[in-house]
Amino acid sequence: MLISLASLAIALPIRRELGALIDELAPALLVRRKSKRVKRYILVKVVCNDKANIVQFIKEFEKRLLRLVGELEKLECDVTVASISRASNRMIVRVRGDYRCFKRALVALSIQHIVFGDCIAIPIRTSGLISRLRKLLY
Amino acid sequence: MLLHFATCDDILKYVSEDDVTILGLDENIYSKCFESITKADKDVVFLPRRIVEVSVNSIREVSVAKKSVLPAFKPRDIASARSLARIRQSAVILLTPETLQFVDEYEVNFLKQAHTRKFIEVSLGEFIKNLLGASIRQGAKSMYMLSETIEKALKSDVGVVASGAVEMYPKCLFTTHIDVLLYSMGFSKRERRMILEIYPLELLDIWLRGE
Repeated sequence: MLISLASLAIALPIRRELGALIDELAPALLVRRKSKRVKRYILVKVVCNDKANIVQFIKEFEKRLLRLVGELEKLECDVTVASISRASNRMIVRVRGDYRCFKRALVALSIQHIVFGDCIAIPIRTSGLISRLRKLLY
Repeated sequence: MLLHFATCDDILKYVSEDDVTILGLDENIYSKCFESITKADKDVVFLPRRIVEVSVNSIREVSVAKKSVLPAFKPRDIASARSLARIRQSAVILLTPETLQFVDEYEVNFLKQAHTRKFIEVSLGEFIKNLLGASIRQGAKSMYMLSETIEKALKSDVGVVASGAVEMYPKCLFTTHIDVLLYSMGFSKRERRMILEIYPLELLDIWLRGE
């Protein structure tokens, strides 16, 4: 009986303190939103001048984008070429990361020809599903 | 609204690749390529353009400028920007990293001071060139100030048009690229349509009416 009373005497203040702590931290935990990692696809048309080599451009394309997006951004932003159509000079670029990463990849794609010259990449359409863009690839 | 081309073939190539409807060309290349650009398959309005630097002393030249060319006025200082806002005719004020400090809506209110419609032409290509070449701090600051200026202008219903000229073609921004850049700067779809479609048409209408 004595032991149970003693344990209650110890547990009650701890519980009260814990409750106060939860009350204090709960709103902060609710407000904090972890950025969602999503996959977005961009359909890109490639326009090259007569001297430029389109095959070489497609090979270097990922490196160019990642260089423009930034070294540290690579931690949370992944840009890869998912599909290519040589016949129509179009390709699908896959962007894995949060929404900010997608925006940056789009900007990098739009200004890459100003930095590197030769070929221009024109974003035509974006989608969350690759199947939707595949219809427009060929 | 303004792009630089070296040859007439480049213009035709650009027109075939981009969804442009109004394209401004330097008056020299316009007169040189007039015959060949009329053969373009697409319905595109070609405008002869010229960039005119304006100082307080040369402000009178603005009112006597040739009506056959659509000029974009580049103020050299805040006084000339104020004078441009006050002149009694429609004018296009060029917004570049150099003129950004003079085209400040806190200093020069284009809507309240202006008796006639004024337009701000954002040379987005110049800003991108500046961003890539300048230090991180300078580039970020100019891009932030640019988006603030555009936002204020849109709120005051001052016409904003964009041009993608950087260097000679192909180092230029296509219409889609401009749309992407405006999107990344946080402008809504409606605002982007205003900048890329509505205001250029209004500017064209005003210029054709000779106001």
